[in-house]
Amino acid sequence: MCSELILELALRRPGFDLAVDHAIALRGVTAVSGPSGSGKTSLLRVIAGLEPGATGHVSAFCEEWQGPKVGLMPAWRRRVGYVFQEAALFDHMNVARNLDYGLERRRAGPSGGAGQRGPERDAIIDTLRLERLLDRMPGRLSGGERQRVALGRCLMSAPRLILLDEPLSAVDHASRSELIPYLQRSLALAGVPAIHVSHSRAELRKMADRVLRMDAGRITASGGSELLLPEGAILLDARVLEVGPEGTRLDIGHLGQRLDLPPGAEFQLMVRRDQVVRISGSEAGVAAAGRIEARVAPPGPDGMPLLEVARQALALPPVAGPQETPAPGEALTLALAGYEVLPPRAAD
Amino acid sequence: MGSDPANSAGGWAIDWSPVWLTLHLSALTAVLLLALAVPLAWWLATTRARIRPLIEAVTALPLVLPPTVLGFYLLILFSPDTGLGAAWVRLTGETLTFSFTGLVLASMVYSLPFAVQPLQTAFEAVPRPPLEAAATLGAGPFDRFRTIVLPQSRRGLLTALVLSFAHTVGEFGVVLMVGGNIPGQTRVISIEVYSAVETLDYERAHVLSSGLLVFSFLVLSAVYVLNRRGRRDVF
Repeated sequence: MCSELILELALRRPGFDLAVDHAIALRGVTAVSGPSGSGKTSLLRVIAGLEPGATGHVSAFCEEWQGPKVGLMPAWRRRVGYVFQEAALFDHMNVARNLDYGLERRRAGPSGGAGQRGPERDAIIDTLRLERLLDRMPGRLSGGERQRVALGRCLMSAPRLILLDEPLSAVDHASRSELIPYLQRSLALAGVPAIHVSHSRAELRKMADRVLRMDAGRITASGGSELLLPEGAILLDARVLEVGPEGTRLDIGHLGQRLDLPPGAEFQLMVRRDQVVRISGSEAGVAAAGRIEARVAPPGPDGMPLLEVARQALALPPVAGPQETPAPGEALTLALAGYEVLPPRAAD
Repeated sequence: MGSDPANSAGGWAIDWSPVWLTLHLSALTAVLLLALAVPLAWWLATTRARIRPLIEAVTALPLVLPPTVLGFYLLILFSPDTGLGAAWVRLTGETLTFSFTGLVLASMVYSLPFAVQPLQTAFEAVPRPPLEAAATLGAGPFDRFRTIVLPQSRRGLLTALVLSFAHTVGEFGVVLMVGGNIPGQTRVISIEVYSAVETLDYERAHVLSSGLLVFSFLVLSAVYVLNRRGRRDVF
Protein backbone atom coordinates (compact mmCIF):
# COMPACT_ATOMS: atom_id res chain seq x y z
CA MET A 1 0.00 0.00 0.00
CA CYS A 2 2.98 2.29 0.51
CA SER A 3 5.07 1.81 -2.61
CA GLU A 4 2.18 1.25 -4.96
CA LEU A 5 -0.77 3.25 -6.12
CA ILE A 6 -3.65 0.83 -5.68
CA LEU A 7 -6.65 1.43 -7.87
CA GLU A 8 -9.91 -0.45 -7.65
CA LEU A 9 -12.29 2.05 -9.08
CA ALA A 10 -15.19 2.72 -11.35
CA LEU A 11 -16.51 5.89 -12.91
CA ARG A 12 -19.71 5.82 -14.90
CA ARG A 13 -20.87 8.56 -17.23
CA PRO A 14 -23.38 8.55 -20.04
CA GLY A 15 -21.73 6.70 -22.91
CA PHE A 16 -18.54 5.94 -21.01
CA ASP A 17 -17.45 3.84 -18.12
CA LEU A 18 -14.09 3.49 -16.52
CA ALA A 19 -13.28 0.36 -14.51
CA VAL A 20 -9.73 -0.13 -13.34
CA ASP A 21 -8.29 -2.70 -10.97
CA HIS A 22 -4.55 -2.26 -10.99
CA ALA A 23 -1.52 -1.45 -8.87
CA ILE A 24 0.98 1.05 -10.24
CA ALA A 25 4.51 1.10 -8.83
CA LEU A 26 5.26 4.49 -7.25
CA ARG A 27 8.66 5.01 -8.83
CA GLY A 28 9.91 6.22 -12.16
CA VAL A 29 7.60 7.16 -14.99
CA THR A 30 4.53 5.12 -15.79
CA ALA A 31 3.25 5.86 -19.26
CA VAL A 32 -0.44 5.48 -20.02
CA SER A 33 -1.09 5.02 -23.68
CA GLY A 34 -4.30 4.58 -25.58
CA PRO A 35 -6.58 6.17 -28.15
CA SER A 36 -8.56 9.36 -27.44
CA GLY A 37 -11.59 8.65 -25.28
CA SER A 38 -10.09 5.50 -23.78
CA GLY A 39 -10.29 6.96 -20.27
CA LYS A 40 -6.67 8.01 -19.72
CA THR A 41 -7.53 11.51 -18.52
CA SER A 42 -10.43 10.24 -16.40
CA LEU A 43 -8.04 7.83 -14.70
CA LEU A 44 -5.64 10.66 -13.83
CA ARG A 45 -8.51 12.81 -12.56
CA VAL A 46 -9.71 10.06 -10.26
CA ILE A 47 -6.17 9.64 -8.91
CA ALA A 48 -5.93 13.40 -8.31
CA GLY A 49 -9.30 13.47 -6.54
CA LEU A 50 -10.97 15.64 -9.15
CA GLU A 51 -13.81 13.21 -9.92
CA PRO A 52 -16.34 13.21 -7.09
CA GLY A 53 -18.47 10.69 -9.02
CA ALA A 54 -15.85 7.93 -8.87
CA THR A 55 -16.51 4.91 -6.67
CA GLY A 56 -14.18 2.30 -5.29
CA HIS A 57 -10.86 2.36 -3.58
CA VAL A 58 -7.67 4.37 -4.15
CA SER A 59 -4.65 4.28 -1.87
CA ALA A 60 -1.02 5.35 -2.06
CA PHE A 61 1.86 6.37 0.24
CA CYS A 62 0.35 4.42 3.16
CA GLU A 63 -2.78 6.56 2.96
CA GLU A 64 -6.26 5.78 1.83
CA TRP A 65 -7.36 8.44 -0.68
CA GLN A 66 -10.72 6.99 -1.46
CA GLY A 67 -12.65 4.17 0.09
CA PRO A 68 -15.56 3.20 2.25
CA LYS A 69 -13.81 4.34 5.44
CA VAL A 70 -12.44 7.73 4.39
CA GLY A 71 -14.91 8.66 1.65
CA LEU A 72 -13.14 10.90 -0.82
CA MET A 73 -10.00 12.71 0.31
CA PRO A 74 -10.20 16.12 -1.43
CA ALA A 75 -7.65 16.91 -4.13
CA TRP A 76 -6.03 19.68 -2.09
CA ARG A 77 -5.03 17.28 0.67
CA ARG A 78 -3.46 14.63 -1.57
CA ARG A 79 -0.26 16.46 -2.57
CA VAL A 80 -0.55 15.13 -6.08
CA GLY A 81 0.71 17.48 -8.77
CA TYR A 82 -1.28 17.72 -11.98
CA VAL A 83 -0.08 19.27 -15.21
CA PHE A 84 -3.11 19.96 -17.36
CA GLN A 85 -3.30 19.70 -21.11
CA GLU A 86 -4.16 23.39 -21.40
CA ALA A 87 -1.75 24.55 -18.62
CA ALA A 88 -4.63 26.05 -16.55
CA LEU A 89 -2.58 29.03 -15.39
CA PHE A 90 -4.13 31.74 -13.23
CA ASP A 91 -4.76 34.47 -15.78
CA HIS A 92 -5.03 37.24 -13.18
CA MET A 93 -1.56 36.62 -11.76
CA ASN A 94 1.83 37.06 -13.39
CA VAL A 95 4.18 34.10 -13.81
CA ALA A 96 6.00 34.69 -10.51
CA ARG A 97 2.73 34.73 -8.57
CA ASN A 98 1.54 31.62 -10.40
CA LEU A 99 4.71 29.84 -9.29
CA ASP A 100 4.50 31.11 -5.73
CA TYR A 101 0.91 29.93 -5.46
CA GLY A 102 2.22 26.38 -5.25
CA LEU A 103 5.18 27.30 -3.07
CA GLU A 104 3.06 29.09 -0.45
CA ARG A 105 0.69 26.17 -0.12
CA ARG A 106 3.45 23.59 0.15
CA ARG A 107 4.15 24.73 3.71
CA ALA A 108 0.50 24.93 4.60
CA GLY A 109 -0.01 21.25 3.76
CA PRO A 110 -1.87 19.09 6.28
CA SER A 111 0.95 16.62 6.90
CA GLY A 112 3.28 19.36 8.09
CA GLY A 113 6.93 20.16 7.42
CA ALA A 114 9.03 17.01 7.08
CA GLY A 115 7.57 15.46 3.95
CA GLN A 116 7.04 18.80 2.26
CA ARG A 117 10.61 19.53 1.22
CA GLY A 118 10.54 19.85 -2.52
CA PRO A 119 13.05 21.40 -4.89
CA GLU A 120 14.17 24.98 -4.19
CA ARG A 121 12.38 27.84 -5.92
CA ASP A 122 15.54 28.99 -7.67
CA ALA A 123 16.36 25.48 -8.87
CA ILE A 124 12.92 25.15 -10.42
CA ILE A 125 13.11 28.55 -12.12
CA ASP A 126 16.58 27.69 -13.38
CA THR A 127 15.72 24.20 -14.64
CA LEU A 128 12.70 25.44 -16.57
CA ARG A 129 14.38 28.70 -17.73
CA LEU A 130 11.65 30.84 -16.24
CA GLU A 131 13.73 33.87 -15.09
CA ARG A 132 12.80 35.98 -18.07
CA LEU A 133 9.11 35.15 -17.86
CA LEU A 134 8.56 35.99 -14.19
CA ASP A 135 6.94 39.42 -14.77
CA ARG A 136 4.79 38.36 -17.69
CA MET A 137 1.06 37.70 -17.60
CA PRO A 138 -0.03 34.23 -18.79
CA GLY A 139 -1.99 35.77 -21.66
CA ARG A 140 1.30 36.90 -23.20
CA LEU A 141 3.05 33.51 -23.16
CA SER A 142 3.45 31.02 -26.00
CA GLY A 143 2.02 27.52 -25.64
CA GLY A 144 5.40 26.05 -24.76
CA GLU A 145 6.10 28.79 -22.20
CA ARG A 146 2.71 28.23 -20.59
CA GLN A 147 3.46 24.55 -20.12
CA ARG A 148 6.88 25.32 -18.62
CA VAL A 149 5.20 27.65 -16.11
CA ALA A 150 2.59 24.99 -15.36
CA LEU A 151 5.34 22.43 -14.76
CA GLY A 152 7.22 24.86 -12.54
CA ARG A 153 4.10 25.69 -10.55
CA CYS A 154 3.47 21.98 -10.05
CA LEU A 155 7.04 21.38 -8.79
CA MET A 156 6.75 24.39 -6.44
CA SER A 157 3.98 22.63 -4.54
CA ALA A 158 6.36 19.72 -3.73
CA PRO A 159 4.04 16.94 -4.88
CA ARG A 160 4.59 13.30 -3.96
CA LEU A 161 3.34 12.13 -7.33
CA ILE A 162 3.13 14.06 -10.59
CA LEU A 163 0.35 13.45 -13.09
CA LEU A 164 1.05 14.63 -16.63
CA ASP A 165 -2.12 14.87 -18.68
CA GLU A 166 -0.99 15.18 -22.31
CA PRO A 167 1.17 18.17 -21.41
CA LEU A 168 2.46 18.46 -24.98
CA SER A 169 -0.73 18.09 -26.94
CA ALA A 170 -1.78 21.76 -26.87
CA VAL A 171 1.65 22.83 -28.12
CA ASP A 172 2.76 23.14 -31.74
CA HIS A 173 5.04 20.49 -33.16
CA ALA A 174 8.30 22.46 -32.98
CA SER A 175 7.86 23.40 -29.29
CA ARG A 176 6.91 19.82 -28.48
CA SER A 177 10.39 18.44 -29.04
CA GLU A 178 11.83 21.39 -27.08
CA LEU A 179 9.55 20.66 -24.16
CA ILE A 180 10.44 16.98 -23.76
CA PRO A 181 13.87 17.68 -22.20
CA TYR A 182 12.19 20.16 -19.82
CA LEU A 183 9.75 17.45 -18.81
CA GLN A 184 12.56 14.99 -18.19
CA ARG A 185 14.63 17.50 -16.20
CA SER A 186 11.59 18.52 -14.16
CA LEU A 187 10.86 14.95 -13.17
CA ALA A 188 14.52 14.40 -12.31
CA LEU A 189 14.53 17.56 -10.18
CA ALA A 190 11.34 16.62 -8.38
CA GLY A 191 12.60 13.09 -7.79
CA VAL A 192 9.09 11.73 -7.41
CA PRO A 193 7.14 9.18 -9.44
CA ALA A 194 5.07 10.34 -12.37
CA ILE A 195 2.21 9.05 -14.47
CA HIS A 196 2.37 10.36 -18.00
CA VAL A 197 -0.70 10.16 -20.19
CA SER A 198 -0.50 10.65 -23.92
CA HIS A 199 -1.90 9.22 -27.12
CA SER A 200 1.47 9.73 -28.79
CA ARG A 201 3.59 6.60 -28.33
CA ALA A 202 6.67 8.37 -29.66
CA GLU A 203 6.30 11.00 -26.92
CA LEU A 204 5.85 8.38 -24.21
CA ARG A 205 8.74 6.21 -25.41
CA LYS A 206 11.23 8.93 -24.54
CA MET A 207 10.58 8.62 -20.81
CA ALA A 208 8.66 5.53 -19.80
CA ASP A 209 9.82 2.97 -17.23
CA ARG A 210 6.65 0.97 -17.58
CA VAL A 211 3.56 1.19 -19.67
CA LEU A 212 -0.16 0.75 -19.24
CA ARG A 213 -2.27 0.52 -22.31
CA MET A 214 -5.90 1.58 -22.05
CA ASP A 215 -8.86 1.04 -24.28
CA ALA A 216 -12.57 1.76 -23.72
CA GLY A 217 -12.13 2.53 -20.04
CA ARG A 218 -10.10 -0.59 -19.22
CA ILE A 219 -6.42 -1.30 -18.76
CA THR A 220 -5.81 -3.79 -21.54
CA ALA A 221 -2.08 -4.41 -21.11
CA SER A 222 0.75 -3.53 -18.79
CA GLY A 223 4.44 -4.06 -19.30
CA GLY A 224 7.64 -2.43 -20.49
CA SER A 225 8.27 0.07 -23.23
CA GLU A 226 7.81 -2.65 -25.87
CA LEU A 227 4.09 -1.85 -25.51
CA LEU A 228 4.81 1.54 -27.02
CA LEU A 229 6.53 0.21 -30.10
CA PRO A 230 5.05 0.82 -33.49
CA GLU A 231 3.86 -2.11 -35.57
CA GLY A 232 6.71 -4.38 -36.64
CA ALA A 233 9.34 -2.89 -34.33
CA ILE A 234 12.10 -4.82 -32.64
CA LEU A 235 14.02 -3.88 -29.52
CA LEU A 236 17.67 -4.79 -29.19
CA ASP A 237 19.66 -4.53 -25.97
CA ALA A 238 22.91 -2.74 -26.69
CA ARG A 239 25.94 -1.49 -24.82
CA VAL A 240 28.27 1.35 -25.82
CA LEU A 241 31.88 0.23 -26.31
CA GLU A 242 33.41 3.41 -27.62
CA VAL A 243 32.32 6.77 -29.01
CA GLY A 244 34.74 7.77 -31.74
CA PRO A 245 34.91 10.39 -34.47
CA GLU A 246 33.11 8.20 -36.98
CA GLY A 247 30.27 7.14 -34.70
CA THR A 248 29.47 4.85 -31.81
CA ARG A 249 30.79 1.32 -31.53
CA LEU A 250 28.38 -1.08 -29.82
CA ASP A 251 28.66 -4.62 -28.58
CA ILE A 252 26.20 -5.60 -31.29
CA GLY A 253 27.37 -3.35 -34.12
CA HIS A 254 28.03 0.22 -35.04
CA LEU A 255 26.00 3.44 -35.33
CA GLY A 256 26.95 6.33 -37.58
CA GLN A 257 25.74 8.80 -34.94
CA ARG A 258 27.88 9.82 -31.95
CA LEU A 259 25.63 8.98 -29.03
CA ASP A 260 25.80 11.16 -25.97
CA LEU A 261 26.48 8.13 -23.75
CA PRO A 262 29.64 7.03 -21.92
CA PRO A 263 31.32 3.69 -22.71
CA GLY A 264 29.57 0.89 -20.85
CA ALA A 265 26.17 2.63 -20.98
CA GLU A 266 23.31 0.33 -21.82
CA PHE A 267 20.31 1.24 -23.90
CA GLN A 268 17.83 -0.22 -26.30
CA LEU A 269 17.92 0.14 -30.00
CA MET A 270 14.54 0.20 -31.70
CA VAL A 271 14.46 -0.90 -35.29
CA ARG A 272 11.46 -1.37 -37.52
CA ARG A 273 11.45 -4.45 -39.73
CA ASP A 274 11.25 -2.31 -42.83
CA GLN A 275 14.33 -0.33 -41.76
CA VAL A 276 16.54 -3.40 -42.02
CA VAL A 277 17.30 -2.81 -45.65
CA ARG A 278 20.05 -5.19 -46.45
CA ILE A 279 21.65 -8.37 -45.37
CA SER A 280 24.89 -9.47 -46.80
CA GLY A 281 27.68 -11.86 -45.97
CA SER A 282 30.63 -9.54 -45.78
CA GLU A 283 29.77 -6.17 -47.36
CA ALA A 284 31.21 -3.64 -44.97
CA GLY A 285 31.13 0.10 -45.42
CA VAL A 286 27.58 0.17 -46.79
CA ALA A 287 26.08 3.62 -46.65
CA ALA A 288 23.65 3.18 -43.75
CA ALA A 289 22.68 4.80 -40.47
CA GLY A 290 24.08 1.78 -38.66
CA ARG A 291 25.10 -1.84 -38.80
CA ILE A 292 24.28 -4.79 -36.60
CA GLU A 293 26.18 -8.03 -36.41
CA ALA A 294 23.86 -11.01 -36.42
CA ARG A 295 24.09 -14.74 -36.72
CA VAL A 296 21.74 -17.13 -38.42
CA ALA A 297 19.83 -19.08 -35.82
CA PRO A 298 18.30 -22.51 -36.20
CA PRO A 299 14.94 -22.26 -37.93
CA GLY A 300 11.89 -21.58 -35.79
CA PRO A 301 9.09 -24.09 -35.18
CA ASP A 302 7.37 -23.02 -38.38
CA GLY A 303 10.50 -23.68 -40.36
CA MET A 304 11.25 -19.96 -40.88
CA PRO A 305 14.93 -19.14 -40.66
CA LEU A 306 15.67 -16.73 -37.78
CA LEU A 307 18.45 -14.43 -36.81
CA GLU A 308 20.15 -13.98 -33.50
CA VAL A 309 21.67 -10.74 -32.24
CA ALA A 310 23.76 -11.06 -29.09
CA ARG A 311 21.78 -14.12 -27.96
CA GLN A 312 18.43 -12.38 -28.60
CA ALA A 313 16.34 -14.36 -31.03
CA LEU A 314 14.98 -12.09 -33.69
CA ALA A 315 11.89 -12.89 -35.67
CA LEU A 316 13.57 -11.43 -38.70
CA PRO A 317 13.76 -13.76 -41.65
CA PRO A 318 16.97 -13.18 -43.60
CA VAL A 319 16.26 -11.41 -46.84
CA ALA A 320 17.44 -13.03 -50.00
CA GLY A 321 21.11 -12.16 -50.39
CA PRO A 322 24.10 -13.58 -52.22
CA GLN A 323 23.41 -16.91 -50.55
CA GLU A 324 19.84 -18.09 -50.81
CA THR A 325 19.69 -20.04 -47.54
CA PRO A 326 22.38 -19.13 -45.08
CA ALA A 327 23.42 -21.96 -42.83
CA PRO A 328 22.77 -21.72 -39.08
CA GLY A 329 25.73 -20.23 -37.25
CA GLU A 330 26.77 -18.09 -40.19
CA ALA A 331 27.53 -14.43 -39.41
CA LEU A 332 25.64 -11.65 -41.18
CA THR A 333 25.71 -7.88 -41.14
CA LEU A 334 22.38 -6.07 -41.07
CA ALA A 335 22.38 -2.57 -42.50
CA LEU A 336 19.95 -0.19 -40.80
CA ALA A 337 18.17 2.58 -42.67
CA GLY A 338 17.02 4.06 -39.37
CA TYR A 339 16.75 3.38 -35.67
CA GLU A 340 15.73 5.01 -32.39
CA VAL A 341 17.69 5.02 -29.14
CA LEU A 342 15.61 4.25 -26.06
CA PRO A 343 16.49 4.13 -22.36
CA PRO A 344 17.31 0.65 -21.00
CA ARG A 345 14.51 -1.69 -20.04
CA ALA A 346 13.04 -1.02 -16.61
CA ALA A 347 13.91 -3.42 -13.82
CA ASP A 348 10.31 -4.50 -13.33
CA MET B 1 -26.15 61.01 9.53
CA GLY B 2 -29.52 60.43 7.96
CA SER B 3 -31.28 61.58 11.07
CA ASP B 4 -29.08 64.62 11.61
CA PRO B 5 -31.41 67.61 11.81
CA ALA B 6 -28.49 69.99 11.12
CA ASN B 7 -28.72 69.00 7.47
CA SER B 8 -32.15 70.46 7.10
CA ALA B 9 -30.90 74.00 6.37
CA GLY B 10 -29.63 74.14 2.78
CA GLY B 11 -28.24 76.80 0.41
CA TRP B 12 -31.49 77.79 -1.32
CA ALA B 13 -33.43 76.94 1.75
CA ILE B 14 -33.33 73.42 0.42
CA ASP B 15 -33.66 70.53 2.81
CA TRP B 16 -30.67 68.30 2.08
CA SER B 17 -31.65 65.54 4.46
CA PRO B 18 -33.44 63.42 1.80
CA VAL B 19 -30.24 63.48 -0.26
CA TRP B 20 -28.01 62.32 2.57
CA LEU B 21 -30.59 59.81 3.67
CA THR B 22 -30.79 58.35 0.15
CA LEU B 23 -27.01 58.06 -0.16
CA HIS B 24 -26.72 56.57 3.32
CA LEU B 25 -29.46 54.05 2.69
CA SER B 26 -28.15 53.06 -0.74
CA ALA B 27 -24.52 52.68 0.30
CA LEU B 28 -25.39 50.67 3.41
CA THR B 29 -27.79 48.49 1.45
CA ALA B 30 -25.26 47.84 -1.30
CA VAL B 31 -22.49 46.83 1.09
CA LEU B 32 -24.66 44.62 3.31
CA LEU B 33 -26.32 43.10 0.28
CA LEU B 34 -22.97 42.24 -1.29
CA ALA B 35 -21.93 40.42 1.86
CA LEU B 36 -25.15 38.42 1.72
CA ALA B 37 -25.23 37.91 -2.05
CA VAL B 38 -21.65 36.63 -2.51
CA PRO B 39 -22.18 33.36 -0.61
CA LEU B 40 -25.71 32.97 -1.97
CA ALA B 41 -24.57 33.51 -5.58
CA TRP B 42 -21.63 31.12 -5.10
CA TRP B 43 -23.97 28.48 -3.77
CA LEU B 44 -26.34 29.01 -6.71
CA ALA B 45 -23.44 28.88 -9.18
CA THR B 46 -22.00 25.63 -7.86
CA THR B 47 -24.67 23.55 -6.14
CA ARG B 48 -26.27 20.52 -7.68
CA ALA B 49 -29.10 20.54 -5.12
CA ARG B 50 -32.56 19.93 -6.51
CA ILE B 51 -33.99 22.98 -4.77
CA ARG B 52 -31.67 25.33 -6.63
CA PRO B 53 -34.27 26.43 -9.23
CA LEU B 54 -36.69 27.23 -6.41
CA ILE B 55 -34.12 29.37 -4.61
CA GLU B 56 -33.28 31.07 -7.89
CA ALA B 57 -36.97 31.84 -8.42
CA VAL B 58 -37.32 33.29 -4.92
CA THR B 59 -34.22 35.42 -5.53
CA ALA B 60 -35.69 36.78 -8.75
CA LEU B 61 -39.16 37.50 -7.31
CA PRO B 62 -38.41 41.17 -6.47
CA LEU B 63 -37.83 41.73 -10.20
CA VAL B 64 -41.37 40.71 -11.01
CA LEU B 65 -43.52 41.72 -8.05
CA PRO B 66 -44.82 45.28 -7.97
CA PRO B 67 -42.97 47.18 -5.23
CA THR B 68 -46.29 47.72 -3.49
CA VAL B 69 -46.88 43.97 -3.20
CA LEU B 70 -43.37 43.42 -1.91
CA GLY B 71 -43.76 46.38 0.45
CA PHE B 72 -47.08 45.09 1.69
CA TYR B 73 -45.66 41.70 2.66
CA LEU B 74 -42.60 43.29 4.23
CA LEU B 75 -44.90 45.59 6.20
CA ILE B 76 -46.75 42.55 7.51
CA LEU B 77 -43.48 40.76 8.28
CA PHE B 78 -42.00 43.78 10.07
CA SER B 79 -45.14 44.56 12.03
CA PRO B 80 -44.55 44.44 15.82
CA ASP B 81 -47.43 41.94 16.07
CA THR B 82 -45.68 39.24 14.06
CA GLY B 83 -42.60 37.08 14.63
CA LEU B 84 -39.75 39.06 13.08
CA GLY B 85 -41.09 42.51 13.95
CA ALA B 86 -41.87 41.47 17.53
CA ALA B 87 -38.44 39.88 18.00
CA TRP B 88 -36.82 43.07 16.74
CA VAL B 89 -38.82 45.17 19.20
CA ARG B 90 -37.83 42.88 22.07
CA LEU B 91 -34.20 43.01 20.98
CA THR B 92 -33.79 46.72 20.32
CA GLY B 93 -36.88 48.43 21.66
CA GLU B 94 -37.58 49.93 18.23
CA THR B 95 -39.98 48.89 15.53
CA LEU B 96 -38.85 47.83 12.08
CA THR B 97 -41.74 49.51 10.36
CA PHE B 98 -41.34 53.21 9.61
CA SER B 99 -37.68 53.15 10.68
CA PHE B 100 -34.37 53.48 8.89
CA THR B 101 -33.33 49.92 9.86
CA GLY B 102 -36.52 48.53 8.41
CA LEU B 103 -35.86 50.49 5.26
CA VAL B 104 -32.38 48.98 4.92
CA LEU B 105 -33.78 45.46 5.31
CA ALA B 106 -36.56 46.15 2.83
CA SER B 107 -34.10 47.64 0.34
CA MET B 108 -31.92 44.57 0.60
CA VAL B 109 -34.84 42.35 -0.31
CA TYR B 110 -35.89 44.71 -3.08
CA SER B 111 -32.41 44.89 -4.67
CA LEU B 112 -31.45 41.25 -4.03
CA PRO B 113 -31.67 40.09 -7.67
CA PHE B 114 -29.54 43.03 -8.80
CA ALA B 115 -26.71 41.80 -6.58
CA VAL B 116 -27.16 38.04 -6.94
CA GLN B 117 -27.56 37.78 -10.70
CA PRO B 118 -24.37 39.55 -11.85
CA LEU B 119 -22.43 37.67 -9.19
CA GLN B 120 -23.86 34.31 -10.17
CA THR B 121 -23.09 35.00 -13.84
CA ALA B 122 -19.53 36.02 -12.96
CA PHE B 123 -18.98 32.99 -10.72
CA GLU B 124 -20.33 30.63 -13.35
CA ALA B 125 -17.95 32.15 -15.90
CA VAL B 126 -14.84 31.34 -13.85
CA PRO B 127 -13.28 28.44 -15.78
CA ARG B 128 -12.90 25.10 -13.99
CA PRO B 129 -9.30 24.20 -14.92
CA PRO B 130 -7.64 26.97 -12.84
CA LEU B 131 -9.80 25.98 -9.87
CA GLU B 132 -8.81 22.34 -10.24
CA ALA B 133 -5.18 23.36 -10.66
CA ALA B 134 -5.40 25.39 -7.44
CA ALA B 135 -6.84 22.37 -5.65
CA THR B 136 -4.00 20.11 -6.79
CA LEU B 137 -1.55 22.78 -5.57
CA GLY B 138 -3.01 22.46 -2.08
CA ALA B 139 -5.62 25.23 -1.96
CA GLY B 140 -8.77 24.41 0.02
CA PRO B 141 -12.25 25.58 -1.01
CA PHE B 142 -12.20 28.94 0.81
CA ASP B 143 -8.63 29.59 -0.31
CA ARG B 144 -9.61 28.91 -3.94
CA PHE B 145 -12.63 31.17 -3.61
CA ARG B 146 -10.57 34.03 -2.23
CA THR B 147 -7.56 33.71 -4.53
CA ILE B 148 -9.11 32.56 -7.82
CA VAL B 149 -12.87 33.09 -7.91
CA LEU B 150 -13.11 36.58 -6.40
CA PRO B 151 -10.25 38.16 -8.41
CA GLN B 152 -11.55 36.64 -11.63
CA SER B 153 -15.05 37.94 -10.81
CA ARG B 154 -14.00 41.54 -10.12
CA ARG B 155 -16.28 42.96 -12.76
CA GLY B 156 -19.25 40.99 -11.47
CA LEU B 157 -18.57 42.26 -7.94
CA LEU B 158 -18.39 45.86 -9.11
CA THR B 159 -21.52 45.49 -11.20
CA ALA B 160 -23.42 43.94 -8.29
CA LEU B 161 -22.31 46.70 -5.94
CA VAL B 162 -23.25 49.52 -8.29
CA LEU B 163 -26.51 48.04 -9.49
CA SER B 164 -27.78 47.42 -5.98
CA PHE B 165 -26.69 50.94 -4.96
CA ALA B 166 -28.35 52.50 -8.01
CA HIS B 167 -31.47 50.41 -7.68
CA THR B 168 -31.86 51.43 -4.05
CA VAL B 169 -31.45 55.09 -5.01
CA GLY B 170 -34.35 54.66 -7.42
CA GLU B 171 -36.59 52.85 -4.94
CA PHE B 172 -40.04 54.31 -4.26
CA GLY B 173 -42.91 51.89 -3.74
CA VAL B 174 -41.31 49.73 -1.10
CA VAL B 175 -40.13 52.77 0.87
CA LEU B 176 -43.56 54.26 0.81
CA MET B 177 -45.13 51.03 2.09
CA VAL B 178 -42.58 50.12 4.74
CA GLY B 179 -41.01 53.42 5.68
CA GLY B 180 -43.68 56.03 5.11
CA ASN B 181 -42.53 59.60 4.87
CA ILE B 182 -40.70 60.58 8.06
CA PRO B 183 -38.16 63.40 7.57
CA GLY B 184 -34.61 62.28 8.34
CA GLN B 185 -35.80 58.72 8.95
CA THR B 186 -37.43 57.42 5.82
CA ARG B 187 -37.99 60.44 3.58
CA VAL B 188 -35.62 59.64 0.70
CA ILE B 189 -35.29 61.65 -2.53
CA SER B 190 -37.90 59.72 -4.49
CA ILE B 191 -40.47 60.30 -1.75
CA GLU B 192 -39.46 63.93 -1.45
CA VAL B 193 -39.90 64.48 -5.19
CA TYR B 194 -43.29 62.84 -4.97
CA SER B 195 -44.47 65.06 -2.14
CA ALA B 196 -42.96 68.15 -3.84
CA VAL B 197 -45.02 67.42 -6.96
CA GLU B 198 -48.11 66.70 -4.84
CA THR B 199 -47.76 70.12 -3.21
CA LEU B 200 -47.03 71.75 -6.61
CA ASP B 201 -43.51 72.75 -5.47
CA TYR B 202 -42.09 72.17 -8.97
CA GLU B 203 -38.89 74.07 -8.30
CA ARG B 204 -37.94 71.68 -5.52
CA ALA B 205 -38.97 68.69 -7.64
CA HIS B 206 -36.76 70.01 -10.45
CA VAL B 207 -33.71 70.50 -8.29
CA LEU B 208 -33.90 67.06 -6.71
CA SER B 209 -34.83 65.24 -9.92
CA SER B 210 -32.13 66.80 -12.07
CA GLY B 211 -29.59 66.31 -9.28
CA LEU B 212 -30.46 62.64 -9.07
CA LEU B 213 -30.36 62.30 -12.84
CA VAL B 214 -26.89 63.82 -13.15
CA PHE B 215 -25.59 61.88 -10.15
CA SER B 216 -26.87 58.55 -11.47
CA PHE B 217 -25.40 59.25 -14.89
CA LEU B 218 -22.00 60.06 -13.42
CA VAL B 219 -21.92 56.99 -11.20
CA LEU B 220 -22.87 54.62 -13.98
CA SER B 221 -20.38 56.22 -16.40
CA ALA B 222 -17.61 55.85 -13.84
CA VAL B 223 -18.48 52.17 -13.44
CA TYR B 224 -18.44 51.48 -17.16
CA VAL B 225 -15.11 53.27 -17.54
CA LEU B 226 -13.59 51.32 -14.65
CA ASN B 227 -15.01 48.09 -15.99
CA ARG B 228 -13.37 48.66 -19.31
CA ARG B 229 -10.03 49.34 -17.72
CA GLY B 230 -10.33 46.24 -15.52
CA ARG B 231 -10.89 44.13 -18.58
CA ARG B 232 -7.64 45.30 -20.13
CA ASP B 233 -5.68 44.56 -16.95
CA VAL B 234 -6.54 40.91 -17.09
CA PHE B 235 -5.02 40.24 -20.49
